[in-house]
Amino acid sequence: MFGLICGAAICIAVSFVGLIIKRKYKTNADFMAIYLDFIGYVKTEIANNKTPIFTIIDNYISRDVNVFTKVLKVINGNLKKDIVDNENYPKECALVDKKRIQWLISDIVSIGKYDSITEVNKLKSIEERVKIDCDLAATKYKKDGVMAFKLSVLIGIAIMIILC
Amino acid sequence: MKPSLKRLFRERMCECLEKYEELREIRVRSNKNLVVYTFGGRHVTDYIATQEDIDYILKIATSRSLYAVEESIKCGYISCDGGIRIGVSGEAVLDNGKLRSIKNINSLVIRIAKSVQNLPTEVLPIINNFDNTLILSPPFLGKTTLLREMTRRLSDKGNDILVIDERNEISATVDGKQNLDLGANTDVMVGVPKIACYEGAVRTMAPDIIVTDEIFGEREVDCLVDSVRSGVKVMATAHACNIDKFLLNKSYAPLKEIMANYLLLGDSVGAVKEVRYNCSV
Repeated sequence: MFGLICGAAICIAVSFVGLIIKRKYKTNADFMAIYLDFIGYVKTEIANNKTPIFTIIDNYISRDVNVFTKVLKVINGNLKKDIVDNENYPKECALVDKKRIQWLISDIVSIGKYDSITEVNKLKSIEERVKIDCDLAATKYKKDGVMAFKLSVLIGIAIMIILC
Repeated sequence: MKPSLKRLFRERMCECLEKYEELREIRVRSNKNLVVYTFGGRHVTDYIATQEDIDYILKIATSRSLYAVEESIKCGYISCDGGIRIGVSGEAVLDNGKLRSIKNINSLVIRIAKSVQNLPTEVLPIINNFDNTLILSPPFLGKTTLLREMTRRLSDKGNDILVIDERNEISATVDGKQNLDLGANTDVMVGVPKIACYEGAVRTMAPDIIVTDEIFGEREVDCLVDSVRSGVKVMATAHACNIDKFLLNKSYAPLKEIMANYLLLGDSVGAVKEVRYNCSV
């Protein structure tokens, strides 16, 4: 009986680890999907309205609340004070890869130095790069993330059986 | 130094500028000494401006969005909060022979707008009994400042005024907000080519007085004359050192028919050198 309880506890713990791994992949996949949407939005706003970058970001943030917009809000606040990065992101952003946040910062910092035609062309190439990473993150979530979760559940069950 | 001006500069440049009072103009050239104009004259400072200083000023002045002000950059300037106008020069980017933008901006002229509270006494009869007025002056002697203050007073007296501010020098509008007071009854058209604006303005805005800065060339003079024929009064400025010589120019001769008052500035900033009242023919 003790073995069964221990096994069940370990099974739950291992499954929880798997769930966190899956969530990390999902968070990154979602982050990249919204990142791609954001770049498209910036491109359209610059091409059509020549809206200043801070206004574009403020408008985008006001549309939705998610991990991406929370990161974006911090970046925007920093840039308004001429700080590039102070890594002061909310807790729920911890699952997002640091390199992806760094890409986002460098993409935003690179905007606004040229005329609109040059900016739009540059954003098109950023969009292509982000799309590739977005597809990669989505594939990784579907394959690795889901598999890690399933595997952890299986390992948990196996441990439980062994302990029984 | 006003916060709106101070925020444009990096710390060291700011320290250098704070030694001067009553700043009128700051000239920033890459790898050259910073030059400052005050009401006391021209001062060459010890500070050597760098390209980083210029990039920083542009970044702050445009809120990291140079593309948002590309149309005014094509005309050679950027307008900022607090009535500050930054003249820019660099390399032209051409697209099918047309100016698309200016890149590698390496020289800036930062002009700080001032308002005058005490108008010269020669101006008061014009304010009290307004008729078409032309303000003439060599550059940098305060014609736009005088024009702005006259506009404000005429507006506050109840005249509906339309300011056609092609280069955003009169109102210093940023994000739709006028940074300089032009009075309670003033409408401002900013950034619109003046010639395109006159006809539509008379029809749609129905102003009592049209105000414009730095008239240039025959076409604009014709537009002014047409506006006066439509029953609107005008107040304008132009670059000149002599009233008679100015009117001898073929392009500006039609102004003789419509202008009632002439003010010529000279000798010192804002000082009226010559004034003529009620002289339209």
